[in-house]
Amino acid sequence: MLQGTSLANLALIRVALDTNSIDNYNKWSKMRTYTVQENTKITPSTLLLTLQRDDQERPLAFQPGQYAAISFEHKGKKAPARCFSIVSPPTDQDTLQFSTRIRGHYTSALSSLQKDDIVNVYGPFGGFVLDVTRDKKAVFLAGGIGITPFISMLRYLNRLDADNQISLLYSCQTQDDIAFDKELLSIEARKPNLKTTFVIGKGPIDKLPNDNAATGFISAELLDKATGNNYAEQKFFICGPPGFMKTMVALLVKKGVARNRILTEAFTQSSPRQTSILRSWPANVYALSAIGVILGSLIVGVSDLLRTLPPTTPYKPTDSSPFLLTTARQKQLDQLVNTIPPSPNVITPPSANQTPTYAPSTSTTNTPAPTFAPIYVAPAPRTTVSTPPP
Amino acid sequence: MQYYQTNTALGSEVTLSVVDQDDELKVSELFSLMWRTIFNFERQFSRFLPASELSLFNRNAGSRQFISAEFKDILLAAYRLSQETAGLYNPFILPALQAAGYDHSLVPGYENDQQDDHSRKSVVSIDQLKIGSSWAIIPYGTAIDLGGCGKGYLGDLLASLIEKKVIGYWLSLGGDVVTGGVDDSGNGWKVAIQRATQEGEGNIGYVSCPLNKRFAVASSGIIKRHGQKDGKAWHHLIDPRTLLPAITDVHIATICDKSALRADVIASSAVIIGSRQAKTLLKNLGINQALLQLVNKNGRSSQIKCGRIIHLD
Repeated sequence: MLQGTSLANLALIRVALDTNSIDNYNKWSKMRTYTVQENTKITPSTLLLTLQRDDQERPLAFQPGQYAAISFEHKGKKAPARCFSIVSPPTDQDTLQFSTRIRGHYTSALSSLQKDDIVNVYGPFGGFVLDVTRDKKAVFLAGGIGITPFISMLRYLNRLDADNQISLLYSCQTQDDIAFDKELLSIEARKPNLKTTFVIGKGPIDKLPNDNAATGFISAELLDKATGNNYAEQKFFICGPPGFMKTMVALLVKKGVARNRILTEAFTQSSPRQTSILRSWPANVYALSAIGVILGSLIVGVSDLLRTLPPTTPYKPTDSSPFLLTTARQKQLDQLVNTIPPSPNVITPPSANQTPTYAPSTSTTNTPAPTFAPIYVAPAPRTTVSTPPP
Repeated sequence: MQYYQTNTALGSEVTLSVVDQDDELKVSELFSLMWRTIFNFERQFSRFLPASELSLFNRNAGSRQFISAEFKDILLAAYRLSQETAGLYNPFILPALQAAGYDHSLVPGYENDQQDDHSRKSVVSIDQLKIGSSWAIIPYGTAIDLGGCGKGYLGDLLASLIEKKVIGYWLSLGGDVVTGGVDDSGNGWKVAIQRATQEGEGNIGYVSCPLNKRFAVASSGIIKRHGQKDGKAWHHLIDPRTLLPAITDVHIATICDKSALRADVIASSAVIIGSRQAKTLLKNLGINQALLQLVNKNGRSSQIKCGRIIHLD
């Protein structure tokens, strides 16, 4: 059995040898390479794309409900990146799954991806996230393919065996448009805390269990049933086309639900909000713009970038959501790391009076150090003070 | 010539000092290397940063997570030291620490930084931490804080980065001091020990560090990082047996060891367990150089000292 000291020393040797490990943090935000493992249609118009992580890649650290941008090569050209909801849970370290309606050239190209094709993934993005520890009671309102972020959340809850009380109202035009229906019913069978109701706009509902089916649209009565008429303790997550979300928000506000308990995610493939061109523009796009369409491309690019991320409920400091990842200290650290001087900045004090007095660690500063401190030549001899750590 | 540099990092003031030939370019590069390591370490392992690897790890408690090589090293060390100290050091103590009142950064300017609230989660024993080849898992509904283990690990890491490149050095990371080589007079370093007063002023003595060896002096105590919550006073050393701030007569424990990581954890454990049992604990852990500063219920101060290299004024 190793003693603690030996273990610590071993750890130090290992880290010292791995000089790249210091910058591991920086690798998190980079593009990741995946290969297509499977590309299937789960309904006549819904695609499920399963990606396999490259062995050398660090897994994507995301929260259930977030989305990522993906890009790939199609007919020898690099397609611009587009955002899609992740449907796999964060617990799956090796695979990522995306799902989308096949509609238009881009998703048609996406559906033509073959096994082992390379796909680049950027992200994750978005604040439409379930807090498993706090959102103990939640109502999910999904419209059409807006079900996808909820699939990730429900798979995650199922994997954790969490006891969150979830009601899912899933609105579709016809029963044949329902995606993930078998999986949802399977999770419900295992977890009595989940109640799924498929709300079918038109046509028959004979393929669905009676207890899980309703016709028409998501109404106030269905919401009353899903919440047990108790709107105060629930958090509401809405994802779907803009019209659907607007209707749902209006319904909830009418029921007296506070806006900070409603989380929304714009979700429509025809909306430029969800179809954004990110940093992954291939070089040939820039080359083409240089030839003749510089001005037009700039206008389109800037307007797209301005609308890159889908609107979600604005973050408020009073909200309990912990997913505001950029704090003052984070920004400070990022700035400090970037400003560490590569060239010497050793300063020799010109006179004894100007020599900075060494302050032991008992002292505190009133404001964060704004810049990287210069190096001082210390008057000899010097001692340091061992004080209790924080 | 001796050079030094000070910055705020890891929630306290960090001072780095090296002794070397008059080569400013080399010294500057060494300082850059060390600061980059420190700031990246804070970005990766601070519980006050919601985007840190530690915060993400806590947020995904219950699932097997891929972890970095450094994180794995620290978790392995935490596991071993928790076993060595019979659970007095327990990284799962974070929920109790936040519930006691240490739920935000105490560094001026960052008190209002958003962070995760784990105060309603459970505290479990170290055997619930599972570590694999490149993954780790903690139970759903728990959270960990590295505490002094992280700072000690970083002290040892910094020393290993520079010790073969300079004549001497001392690195002070908010209570953990790591020394090596010699000072600019060719003598061993002297590390002063702070007196256990609320004002935090004055030294009670010093440690004569051995020549040309890496040596760590770590102090832990209850006179720093304290506050009031709901009318109750708290400090940051939580007794895992009660899940409350430790009630102890040891106000500062100073421990000397080859490893800052080990010294820091043992110093905190000695404070938590109190003077009556601390002597046995230190003996069992093979600590020969230590100073315990005691304050009894009447406010009377005394010391327990062992080892020859600790000198009291």
